Amino acid sequence: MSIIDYSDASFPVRDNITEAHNRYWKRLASPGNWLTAAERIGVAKEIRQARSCELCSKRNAALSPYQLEGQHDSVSDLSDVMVEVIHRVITDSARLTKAWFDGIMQQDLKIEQYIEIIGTLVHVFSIDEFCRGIGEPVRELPDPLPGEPSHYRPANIVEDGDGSWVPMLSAVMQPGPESDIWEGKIEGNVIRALSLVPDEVRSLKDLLIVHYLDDEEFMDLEKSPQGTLSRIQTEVVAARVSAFNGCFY
Amino acid sequence: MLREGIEAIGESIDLDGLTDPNCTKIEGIPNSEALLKLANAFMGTDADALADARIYLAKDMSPEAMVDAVAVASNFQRMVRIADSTGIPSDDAMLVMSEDLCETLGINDYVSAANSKKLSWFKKLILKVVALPQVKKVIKERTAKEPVS
Repeated sequence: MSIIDYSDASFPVRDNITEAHNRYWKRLASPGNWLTAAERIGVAKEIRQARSCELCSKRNAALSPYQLEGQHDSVSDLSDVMVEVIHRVITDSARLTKAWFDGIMQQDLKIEQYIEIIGTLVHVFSIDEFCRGIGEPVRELPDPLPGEPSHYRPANIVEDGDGSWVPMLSAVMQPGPESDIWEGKIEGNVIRALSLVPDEVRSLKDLLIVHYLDDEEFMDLEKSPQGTLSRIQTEVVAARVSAFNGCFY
Repeated sequence: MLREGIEAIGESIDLDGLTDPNCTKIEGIPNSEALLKLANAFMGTDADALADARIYLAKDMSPEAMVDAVAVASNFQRMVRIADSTGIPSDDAMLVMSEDLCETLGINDYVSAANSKKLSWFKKLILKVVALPQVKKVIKERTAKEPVS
């Protein structure tokens, strides 16, 4: 199992960041709910490939990415539709449309697999981006462990997604196996978005706490989340990055 | 949330430049120049500019603060992709709270804005009269519970 170690990094990395990244790496190497471990590692490899993909580069430069057909420069055994999802979300997510999503869903991909791909993608990408940001090489991917996906699908799913494209758990959590994810409050859509595969929300929250802040502290605008940047300074970075990404949310 | 945070501590800061990459400093926010320089370089493709921005922020604040700023930036590379790929609408209360700011900063022009339907006047009224004061109250209460260091 490859271990993430930032002890030799040029800048001091908090221990809880290293620990959270290692927890995720361990999960990445394991079979998920809807993908095998090999498929999850495949997602990670495609993330790293997407930025040098010629088709993605041409689509990025085009007025509309939907004008250009072609084959992605793939480095995994994942299906074409999986590769399309990964490359598009990594390189051009701001221009994704409902029509694109509907087209993906008409191909050989279950919505649960889609959510697990997105979850895997965003978690690995945030760790890779952290490395790039502090001037470190991306960390070696773990070897996939054997085993089959559990095919776990939670009850209490709002199938129409409350206006989003994807089914998700109710904003008010019902008692049951998912009640550890959020309880006693109405949860925001960005946390609910991956809840069709609850483990993706668990990983999201685990990384969120060390990268940004604890979801429970969101309304506390005075507290310095990690002790170095004030909350206002934190939000300046968040807002500028979100603006570059064209993020309405 | 940034604006609410500023209001909660009784400050008034012009946030118009927040979404403009050419805006290099926000008056009233300490170290904003170094933070924005890092955020801009992080989102760019020039590795040397990112290296310079890292050192600049580490000197302006601290190496630990630089790492934390990168942690925040990399987190928001994640959150935007979750929102974009799942087509989630903005939460109703946030939509009402940020209505004027979205207009001023041009955020309504983003492609992903299409995922958030306009609220009916009635729902907007209910949120403005009932929900928003509650949200602001919670922010003020939580913000007031610890003294400013």
